[in-house]
Amino acid sequence: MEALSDLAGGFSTALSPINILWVFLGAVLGTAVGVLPGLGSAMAVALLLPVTFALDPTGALIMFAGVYYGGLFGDSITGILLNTPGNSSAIATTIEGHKMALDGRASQALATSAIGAFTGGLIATTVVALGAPLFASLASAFGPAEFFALTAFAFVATAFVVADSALKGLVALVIGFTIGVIGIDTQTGTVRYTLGIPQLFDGIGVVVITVGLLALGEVLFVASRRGYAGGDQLVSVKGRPFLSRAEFRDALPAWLRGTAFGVPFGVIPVGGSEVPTFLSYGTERRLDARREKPMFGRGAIRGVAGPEAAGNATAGTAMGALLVLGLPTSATAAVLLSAFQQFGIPPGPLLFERAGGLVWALIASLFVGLFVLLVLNLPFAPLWAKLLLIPRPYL
Amino acid sequence: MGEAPAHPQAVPVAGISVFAGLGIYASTGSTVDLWLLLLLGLLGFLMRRHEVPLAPVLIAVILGPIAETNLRNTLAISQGDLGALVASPTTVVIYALLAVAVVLAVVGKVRSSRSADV
Repeated sequence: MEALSDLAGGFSTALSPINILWVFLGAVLGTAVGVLPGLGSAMAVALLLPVTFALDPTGALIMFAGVYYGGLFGDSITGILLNTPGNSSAIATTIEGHKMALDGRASQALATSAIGAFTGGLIATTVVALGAPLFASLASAFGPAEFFALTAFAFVATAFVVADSALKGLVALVIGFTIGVIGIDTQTGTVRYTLGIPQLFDGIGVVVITVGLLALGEVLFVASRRGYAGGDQLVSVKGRPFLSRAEFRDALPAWLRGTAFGVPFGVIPVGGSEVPTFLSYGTERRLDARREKPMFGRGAIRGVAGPEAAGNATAGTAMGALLVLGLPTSATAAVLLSAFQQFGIPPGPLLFERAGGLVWALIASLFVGLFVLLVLNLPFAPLWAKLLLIPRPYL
Repeated sequence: MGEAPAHPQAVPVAGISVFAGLGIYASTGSTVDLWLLLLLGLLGFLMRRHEVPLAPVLIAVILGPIAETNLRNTLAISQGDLGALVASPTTVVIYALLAVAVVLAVVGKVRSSRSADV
C-alpha cells in the first residue's frame, strides 16, 4: 500500500506543532463563519483566502482543511438552534434538528449533528486517501475532449439539477461565463469585455468575485432583511447534555446510511450537498414511517444524523474530485480551486506527482481537522444550546 | 465571534464588510478591485433577492475558462471536426450520464411538485 506510506508522510507534516495550530485556527474560524446565518463553508473559505497569503502554501492549504470542514460543522448549529441554516447544505438537518431543539433536546441534536458530520467526513476522507492515487492514474489518460465533457457535465448539472428552476440556473451560469471571460484571452491575446479599462486586462480575480458575490452580497441581503425576522419564543433546554446509549444506537445506522448517500455524490458535479442531504432525509423519513413509534415531525434524531453525515461525506469526496480532476463539484470546492491557483499549484491528475508532499499533508490535515472539530463541537454542544435562552430579537 | 449573537446583527454585518474590503485591498493593492467588490456585492445582493443561485456563477467563472481552453484545444487538434468531442468512449459515457442526470432531475421535480412532499 503505497498510499498508506504517503499518508504517513503527510501526517508527519500535518502533525508538526505549527501546522496543528493552522488546522485548529482554520477549524475555529470556519465554524465561526459557518455559524453566522447565510454564511456557509464556501464563504468561510472565500473570506479567509486573502488572510492566508501571508502563509506558505502548505500552511495555507492546511488551514483551509480546517476551514473546509469547520464551515460545515458550523452551519448546522444555527440551523438547529434558530431555524436559520448557515448554508443550503444544512437545510435538511434543520427540519428535524430545530424540532428537537424546540422539544428541549438542543444539545442532543447538536451532538448528533457533530458526530454525524465527523462520521461522514472521516469515511469520505478515508475513501479519498485510499482511492485518489488510483483515480489520478486513470484521470491522467484524460485529454482535452474528456475534460471539456466533464466541465459541460458540471455546467448542466449545476444549472438544472441543483437550482430550483432551470431558468435561474442558466441565468446564473451566463453571469458566471460573462465575468469569467473578461480580460485578455490567453490563447490569442484578444482583449474581451474590458470596456477599455487597463486594470481589467488581467481579468477579475477569483477572490474578488467570491468575496463580492458571496460575502458582500449576503451582507447586503441580511442588512436589507433586518427587522423582518419574526418569532420570539423562548425555548427551554432540558435533559442530559450528551447522547444516551439508546440515542446513540438510534442514530448510528442513520449516520452510516447518510455517509453512503454522500460519498458518491461528492464526485458528481451537481453543485454541492443539497441533493444527498435531502435524499438521506427522505430515506430516514420513509424508514421512520414504518417503525412502531414514528418520530419524524417531533424531532427525530435520525433526521439530524442522516443528512448531516451525508453533507460532510459529500464535502469529503468533493475534495477528492478537486484534487484528482481539478474539477470543483461544489461552490466551496470552486473557491478552494482558486486558492490552489493563487499558490500556483493547479489541481489535476498530475498534482500527486508534482506536489505529492503537499497533497498528502493536506489530506492528513483533513483527518486532523475532523478530530479537532469533534473535540471543539462535542463539549460545546450544551454551551451553544444556551443560546436559545437569549430572546430572539437580540440575535 | 462566539459571543456575537449577544449583540445586534449589525455587528457581524459591518465587520464582514470591512474584513472583505480589507482582505481584497491587502491582497491586490488595487482600488479598482474595491470598486469591483462593491459592484459584485450589489450583483450578489440582487441575485440573492431574486433567488438566483450563486453556486453556478462560481462554477462558471472558474470552470468556464478551463472548458473554453479544452474545447479549443480539442477542435484545434481535430482541425475543427466536432466529432472529436465524442470520439472516445469516456466522453460518450460522460454525456450519457449527463443525459440520465437531467432526465432524473426532471422526473424528480415533476413528481415532487405533484405530491408536494416536505
